[in-house]
Amino acid sequence: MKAAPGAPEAGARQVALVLRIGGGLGAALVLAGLAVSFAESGGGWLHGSGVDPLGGDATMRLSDLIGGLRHGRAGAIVLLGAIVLAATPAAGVVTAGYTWLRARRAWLAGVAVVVLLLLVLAATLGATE
Amino acid sequence: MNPLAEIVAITAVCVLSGCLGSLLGLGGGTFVVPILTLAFGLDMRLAIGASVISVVAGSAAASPRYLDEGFANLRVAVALEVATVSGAIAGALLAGHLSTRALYTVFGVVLAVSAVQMLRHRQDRDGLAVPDDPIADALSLHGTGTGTTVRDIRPYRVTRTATGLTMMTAAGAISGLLGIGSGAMKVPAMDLAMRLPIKVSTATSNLMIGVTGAASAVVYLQRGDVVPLLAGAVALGTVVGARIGSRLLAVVPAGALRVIFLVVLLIVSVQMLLRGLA
Repeated sequence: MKAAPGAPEAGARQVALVLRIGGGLGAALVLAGLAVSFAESGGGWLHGSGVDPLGGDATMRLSDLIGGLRHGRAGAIVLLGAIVLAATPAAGVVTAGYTWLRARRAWLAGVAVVVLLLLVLAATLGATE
Repeated sequence: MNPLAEIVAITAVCVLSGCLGSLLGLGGGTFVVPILTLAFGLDMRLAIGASVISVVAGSAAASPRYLDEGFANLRVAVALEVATVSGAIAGALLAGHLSTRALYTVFGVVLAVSAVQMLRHRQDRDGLAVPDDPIADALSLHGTGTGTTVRDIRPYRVTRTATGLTMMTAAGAISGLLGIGSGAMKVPAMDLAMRLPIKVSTATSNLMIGVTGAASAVVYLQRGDVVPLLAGAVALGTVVGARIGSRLLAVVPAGALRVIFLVVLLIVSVQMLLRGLA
């Protein structure tokens, strides 16, 4: 049974599209990273030898991303996927804000801008931790 | 268990938790952190780091369908995100300074409170007058959605936005602190305080969880509390589960799900409290 409760509101389809693209891209990168990691260390995973891929020694920071990608580290590809996933909701808010701005719904567009500024603040505060 | 089997098992379990999280508007984190710590013996902080990524992934997977079908109220979601994101930033920063035992205890208490919320019988408020709300009027938050059944489509008026914002700040703080979606607090805030229909509340909560989770995820990623392969396995499982859950929302009887969820929630809550207070 397919539900059809109500017509989507202004901007909803655009936001849905952005979430689909971002979610799909992020998940694809994560999957690719896991596949590369298995290709590199599958033997170790099967026998439990080497560094535990799920342990504390395998953590990565955002600042490790560029270097990790340059050296083709599988963890960095997964991390990139995680970043794309984390950025997707923000892209959704940008899309909603833009749609509302075009529809001259200034208050709603203003609220979207405040949410985006708070996300930027989160990134800034996280970097100083 | 070797790492490969562990990754496969974690992904499989996260399919189930993502499905339940999407259906109930809770986000998968409510189940993911207890599963990773209690069943797989992983470090609490790393489990939260993985969970917070999965929360965003699950929301991105489930929300498009809810938006397309008109379940989710985008205006309410973005308006309330001002409060949840503020709370999430505070919570995520605080989490870095709390001990693991304290996190276990807080998690156990939050799950117990969530269980109590679900135990409370929801009164039928049809016919009751909805107080006027200038904030909801100014932001045009009112909408159209389902009542008790899928075919029961009717307009609804949003009220007590200020109360909702206050409750959402607390929900955001818990989300940032524990790496969960805090849907157990968001859904009642919209359903009971702001008078949104239950399915609109659930779908809107799912949408909001992504933005709240993103605020926390940035902090965890910056701090180095994320193990990529763990977060990846958890996120993939959650994405698959959330997609399944979003398809089931319209057809699954909510009553049966609530009972199953309640039992699981109570068991996990007791286990977490025992660890925290031991």
